[in-house]
Amino acid sequence: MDVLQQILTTATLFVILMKVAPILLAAIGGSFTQQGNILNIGLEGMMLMGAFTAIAVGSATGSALVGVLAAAGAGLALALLFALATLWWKADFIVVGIGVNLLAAGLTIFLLLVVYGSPGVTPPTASIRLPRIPLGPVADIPVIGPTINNQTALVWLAFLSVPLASLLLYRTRFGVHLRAVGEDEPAAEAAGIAVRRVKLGGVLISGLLSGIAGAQLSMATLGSFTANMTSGRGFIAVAALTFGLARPLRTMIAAVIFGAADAVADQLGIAGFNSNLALMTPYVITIIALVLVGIRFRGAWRARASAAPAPQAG
Amino acid sequence: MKHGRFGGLAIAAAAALTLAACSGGTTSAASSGDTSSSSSGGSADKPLRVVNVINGSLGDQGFFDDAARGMAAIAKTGAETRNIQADAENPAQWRSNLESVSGGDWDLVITGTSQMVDILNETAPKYPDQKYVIYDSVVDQPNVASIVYKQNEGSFLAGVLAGLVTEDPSTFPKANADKTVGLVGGMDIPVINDFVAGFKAGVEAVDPDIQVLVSYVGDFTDSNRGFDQATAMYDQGADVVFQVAGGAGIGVLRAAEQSDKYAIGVDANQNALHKGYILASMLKNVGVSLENAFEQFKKGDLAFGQTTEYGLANNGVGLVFEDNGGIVPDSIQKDIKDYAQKVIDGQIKVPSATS
Repeated sequence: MDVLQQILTTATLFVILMKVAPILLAAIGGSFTQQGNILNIGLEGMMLMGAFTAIAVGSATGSALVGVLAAAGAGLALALLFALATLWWKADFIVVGIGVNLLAAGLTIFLLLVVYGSPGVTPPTASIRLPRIPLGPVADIPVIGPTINNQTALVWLAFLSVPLASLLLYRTRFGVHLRAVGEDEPAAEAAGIAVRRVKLGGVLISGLLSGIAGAQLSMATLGSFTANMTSGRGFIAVAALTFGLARPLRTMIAAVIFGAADAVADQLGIAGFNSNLALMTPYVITIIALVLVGIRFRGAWRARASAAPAPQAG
Repeated sequence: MKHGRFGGLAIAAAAALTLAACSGGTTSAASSGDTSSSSSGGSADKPLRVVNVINGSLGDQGFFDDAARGMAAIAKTGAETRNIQADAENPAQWRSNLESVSGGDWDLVITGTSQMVDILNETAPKYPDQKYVIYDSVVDQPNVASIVYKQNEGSFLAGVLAGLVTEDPSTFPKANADKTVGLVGGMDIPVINDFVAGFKAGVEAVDPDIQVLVSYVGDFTDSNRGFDQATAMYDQGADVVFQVAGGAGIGVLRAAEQSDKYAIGVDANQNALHKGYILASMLKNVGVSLENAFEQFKKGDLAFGQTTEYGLANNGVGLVFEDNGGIVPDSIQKDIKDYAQKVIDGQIKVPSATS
């Protein structure tokens, strides 16, 4: 009971949003490549590069905003490399994704050494953090207030990116073309869609959002970059968008479930649960939740299919 | 589009090469040129030659840098020394570096960490006349002298410090009335649990009623998770959190400042990272142990085929308070010294999780 009380606090809800934001941003970004039928496992590297660039540029210029923009630029640069290799030189996108991740891991440590003379962490002198957004009277609303009060702008952006992505994917020419390319590339090409350019757009969006996700990771609370600090979040984002079938809303649900489970796992570990089991819980909870969601979806679908006669369906 | 496919392969190869170049950039230059030799031996004899084969690069502000400090001290005694760095991700390079110095040119070959155990276990029997020293691990070969550190004893002092702080809110204004302290570890593995065992014993030595929270990040890189776990501990009333989580621990130290509480660092002097919030850092004094080993080697006393333990008694582990902003008064530091003396005298037996 004591453990449950520790877990179910508004402080935990606040932490969940912090944990979800970088994963969600990267997953929404990745869903744009996924919709174009490219599995982008380079999200991790793009995020890591963004995390480093945010601190390096942000602290040098003294502006968190410039840091975030630079992080987005760093993500874009890696995405451009990814697009060149996969779309123009026709390399296998899994191999290129691995290459991007290795490149980012090596390059960030190399730059840490060259710029700051330390392979592990940026020094306290090169520290910059994102401003927190106080909500004034809204903060007094029970439960919701303290959860959303004093979050960074990037947390808001992460959740705002979900409807924006839906809009872009389902209500614009680019989105329709991208999904058409993803569904059936030869048919899209025959219909006169510039396949490569559309896919390039998707890849660049993934880099942009992943870079920003990295900025949230390094600048939200820590204000410093530590070597390999993404620690697999890019792959969690890939998992979230895969479970979400690259649809923004479902991807968000997966990311939120994972973030919540992750926060619970931290509390369980401190409460003395076996650490290996505690660290496993986010993954187990995520899988169980997604299976349940999947079953519900299929049930609803079947019910609809049997209710309506075949010709009217769809 | 045949050649297009090859182009793809080429870019993948190029990416891999770039990476190799990146991590090699700091090290390849070093492995060829970084000699800190000093052949100004005072005696008429040929100076002893000592080489340190590093399975990573200097500049880690921890382990390897400390070993290099020991090498510099050895060089001051008139020996000829050299540090050979390597790519931290390239075991093949470590092996070739080790073998290249094993042919008899060097009187003593030093290497360290558990990652070198297998390599040294294969190399040492091939060169039975070569003398080796390995630190922070044990290699059971007749020509290898092993050095291990009693991190549980150093961790014990960290526990004593944490205990004294949480009991004494008048001296330590950030402490609250709750008697709670915490430890954030990297992974649930024996060497980390040795820290945990020592820390718990130290806290208990001060007051058995103090609650000790323990959590593991799951790796040594996720600084955000380190931050989250430490923050959760501070929220639950912890006054001091000891980090034993490598890079992830950077987040723990940051959490101390964010929550306006205390932390204890590890591996390097991390006190200045968040001045006024980090009480002390616990170090393994690799340099001191290498100096000692060399002194014994010079006298012919270094016991090969055996393991030497460096604990509080021979200054192999300890707490440093420098640069912490003067937040730990001398009286508390003296209390901690008294506890250390009790461990050295055998009055207190610190439990271990490794042996």
